[in-house]
Amino acid sequence: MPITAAGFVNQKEIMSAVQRVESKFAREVHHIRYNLGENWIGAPSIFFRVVVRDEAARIDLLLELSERISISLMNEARTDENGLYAYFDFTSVSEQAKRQDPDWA
Amino acid sequence: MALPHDLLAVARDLREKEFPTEATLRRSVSTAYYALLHLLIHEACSNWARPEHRSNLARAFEHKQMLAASEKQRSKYKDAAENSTEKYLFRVAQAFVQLQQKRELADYDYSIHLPLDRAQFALGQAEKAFISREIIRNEQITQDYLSSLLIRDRIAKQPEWGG
Repeated sequence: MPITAAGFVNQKEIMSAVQRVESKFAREVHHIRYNLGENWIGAPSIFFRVVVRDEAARIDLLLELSERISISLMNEARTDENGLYAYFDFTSVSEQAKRQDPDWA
Repeated sequence: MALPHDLLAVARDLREKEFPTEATLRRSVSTAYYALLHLLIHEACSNWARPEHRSNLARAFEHKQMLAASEKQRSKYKDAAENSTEKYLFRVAQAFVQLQQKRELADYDYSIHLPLDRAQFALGQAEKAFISREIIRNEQITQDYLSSLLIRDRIAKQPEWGG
């Protein structure tokens, strides 16, 4: 169980939070992956990787959607309360299919 | 000051190259971060009354303090109402936090592959932050944010008086 400034991070709670956000955005989001680690200053951080459906991947749509998803993930996973810096990255289903990146699968 | 906007244009040119390489995409992401960094530093320094001191003042900003200040704002305003000043400030702070980490990866991390779509997304975040900052440039909370990028918040809590 990773330790942050706020204490232990309950991975089950985070997993549930991610599933809730996946459900909430089911029309736009294919799946979400994450890992815990450190950011560039060595602070406890969570890195979310969001794979969106191709219909939602046009850059103007994605910029707007990414904000809503990011806020939802921060709130559901209580990243502030857990003492975690939250980072987000996005790709589309078709881009992931081309690259087969295991971190995003 | 043209530098922040010129840097953003460079980031855009790099991303739009006909045959982008990993190197050009990494430079695009890194430059997008520096465009936003210099925009915020320039805006903060422009509040200093004596122009001849501003370039020295600009050297006093630190990436780490700017991260702490931006993290505080994005946490505070993430649930702000749509189209409010606070939401625009959230967008600026959020873009800064995200791009700073992406810059680190783009410049130093050999283990990642940076594809075109993710470089494009990073650039889009920077462009959106520029627009948001323009909308709220004269607001008090924007000015408070700019000063917090340089000056740590030293008022931790009210003194507890005995008696």
